[in-house]
Amino acid sequence: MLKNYLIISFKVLMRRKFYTFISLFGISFALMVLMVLFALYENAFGNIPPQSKNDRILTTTYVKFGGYNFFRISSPGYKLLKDYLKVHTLPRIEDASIFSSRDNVDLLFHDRAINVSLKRTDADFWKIFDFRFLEGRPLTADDEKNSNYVAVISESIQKKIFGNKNPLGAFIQLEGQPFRIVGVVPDVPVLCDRPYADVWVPLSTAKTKAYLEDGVFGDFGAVVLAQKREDIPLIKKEYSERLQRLDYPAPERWTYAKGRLETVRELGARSILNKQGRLDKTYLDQFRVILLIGITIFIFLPTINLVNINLSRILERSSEIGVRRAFGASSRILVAQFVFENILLTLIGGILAFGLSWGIIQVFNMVDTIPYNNLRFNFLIFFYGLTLTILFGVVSGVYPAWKMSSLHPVAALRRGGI
Amino acid sequence: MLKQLIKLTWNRRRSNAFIILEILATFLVLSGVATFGLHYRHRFRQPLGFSYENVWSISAHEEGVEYGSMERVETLKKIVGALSDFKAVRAIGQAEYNFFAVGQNGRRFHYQGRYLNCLSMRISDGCADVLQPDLIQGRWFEKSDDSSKHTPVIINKRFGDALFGRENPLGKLLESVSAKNEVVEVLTVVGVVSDFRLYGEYDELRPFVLVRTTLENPANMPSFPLLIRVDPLAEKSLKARLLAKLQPLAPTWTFDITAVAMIRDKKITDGLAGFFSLGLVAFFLMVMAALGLTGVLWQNVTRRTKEIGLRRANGAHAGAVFRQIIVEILLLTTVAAALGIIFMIHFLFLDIFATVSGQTYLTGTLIALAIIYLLTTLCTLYPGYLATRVHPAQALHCE
Repeated sequence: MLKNYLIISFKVLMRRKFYTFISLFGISFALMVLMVLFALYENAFGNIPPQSKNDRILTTTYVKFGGYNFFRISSPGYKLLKDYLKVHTLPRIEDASIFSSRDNVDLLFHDRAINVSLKRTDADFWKIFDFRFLEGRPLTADDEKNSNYVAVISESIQKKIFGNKNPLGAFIQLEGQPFRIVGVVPDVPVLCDRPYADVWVPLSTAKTKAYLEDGVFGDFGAVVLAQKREDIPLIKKEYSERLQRLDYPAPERWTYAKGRLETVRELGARSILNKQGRLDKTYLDQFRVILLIGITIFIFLPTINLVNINLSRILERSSEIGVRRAFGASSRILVAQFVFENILLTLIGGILAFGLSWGIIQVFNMVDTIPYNNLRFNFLIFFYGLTLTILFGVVSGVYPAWKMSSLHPVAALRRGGI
Repeated sequence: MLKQLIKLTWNRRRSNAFIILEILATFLVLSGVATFGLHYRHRFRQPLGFSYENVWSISAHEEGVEYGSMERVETLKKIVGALSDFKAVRAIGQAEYNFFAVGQNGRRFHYQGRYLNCLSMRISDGCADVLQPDLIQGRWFEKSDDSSKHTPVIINKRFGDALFGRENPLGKLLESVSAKNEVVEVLTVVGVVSDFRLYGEYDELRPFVLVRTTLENPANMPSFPLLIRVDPLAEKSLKARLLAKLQPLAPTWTFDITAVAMIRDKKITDGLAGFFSLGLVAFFLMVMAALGLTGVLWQNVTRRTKEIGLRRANGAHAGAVFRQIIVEILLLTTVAAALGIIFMIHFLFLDIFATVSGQTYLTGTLIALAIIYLLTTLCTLYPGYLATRVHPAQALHCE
């Protein structure tokens, strides 16, 4: 029986190649785009190294300080985070790390110079983010305390300047200072905003110690690791409260201070929607609504398209339906057959989408449109996608099939109207 | 004729409903993509209002100097003096912060009972030559402003339009008011620039105010970078020579020299990845929608070959039949488009699209409307033409 259905289905599909192509194109493209989007999402916000503890990581947004007739929005300064807000003493946290914003600097090695992204970090940074070390070790508390001129570099920087040689112990020049390489880590995708850089060095190796005495603004950020996910609201609340009751360096100037601790996803939504200065609420919900609308459109388009194409093909098959009904096939059997055909069509689309998205992801990774992207083909997501396809098949098959099967046999044989 | 066609379409409302739905979905996708595309294109193409090529920014981390001290002012003067000795340095100015960065300063300006919150920056006289701003009215700050009773400011055109309407903004007095409602500072407009988009091309278009400051002002924060315009033909070693000259003047300071164009390039590249992905998704969406619609309409017309044959056998001209098909499809498109426009009006009031201007919205919708009519007409013309080519006898016979 199933074999018969299969044969008929293929015959029907091959009869009108144009429509088959359009249906398949719609399904496979929709699925492919969804797959690539999810891969990008995973890459930026997923629990993958170095952000395996993503669910428990909280990070600082910009801060906004203002008076009655003016305000200033900026990254927080080191002193604000360390001494005024005391992020290290926030309740129920495992670790807290303060690090500098990325800086574009020239890296010199012998007579070669390349432009790299430099981040200055403390030792806790390496506990919160779980880098997998290809060589060597992370920066330690001792490095920070003694201002050791040591650096961790990314794999592609290693490849660029050392080729296949082991770089440990070699010296590179950054901003005129020599740094000894102590570790190599895999490239961090540029979408992982907080840990991302090409070269990491201790905070205390900064050219000047001025940052220690800066006002509330500066070029720093902090991440904290909550003990449990449930503690996140409490930590967030405490941070905001500390910001409110802060003793400001110039109390007569400022009347309010705003800033938040946010999860990586919340911060991502904020920066995608370009709301860096709006610090009263998170924008994750708004982002999710937009995402949901987008996904719905992507699923809805090929489904409605399939329904339409199926509906208009009823006539084409009216004689077949007439004969089957005249010979006693119940409408349930006919519905089952048509839905089966449709599911088969969508499954073929799903398989095409599998190939397409796999290919596109390889291309994305290769051409470096987004630097150091390491998109991964996620089989779980693909499984969801496939389930979705089958749903496509059922939804877009049932209504036309019901219409087909309700044709009166005599009318159908006469190839009459519906 | 039209009335009859409407009746015909109505009688087939159930099978037509799905086609209308598909056209509607395609229309919504097209107008969404068109609106956002236009929105960002418009934003990106607006001039920055200043020139950043060959401008370098010199920032200094200062140690052992107090913010408001005269000692710092003296050091700054020495640095400026040393810089002007270089032939390759064409002009020197100072600005409150680095261009294309993220930090923002905002102020509230009162004018005759109304006020406007907007971003502002303090900037020095010399920046006229460094940044070559696009002045459309009035003048840049100058030495004679030292004796001015009010703090001179330069506004961008958008600020003037928002606060003064059609009045001439030059000479207008703005007030800075404290929480106790006392006027703490009076500012006077001396010039209008076309725009001053400090945060680069991606940033939204907003009102902006430049407030005069001088190198001699001890209240200037230490983050104030010096901006210099260098000779386009300057040698590469200039940066190192500048640093070597500056360092002895302030041994405890750490200098950093960056080309402003480089900061901008980085910002553009960073943003491009996002736009690229978004554009790609939009493109896929449009191709998907358009191709789907083509298939459906194509099939819809093709399957009516028999009906067309019947009408022709009854004496109708091929042209008349052809027209009928097209008008019918256009009718469906109109219904779908009308529904779509209702949706679009509804979206207009959603918070998500708040930054998109009404005009962009309208243009986007119109473009989508044009594309959808063009697409449906094209998708009908060819199969319709094929259908009328079939001989009536054959058409009546065919399946």
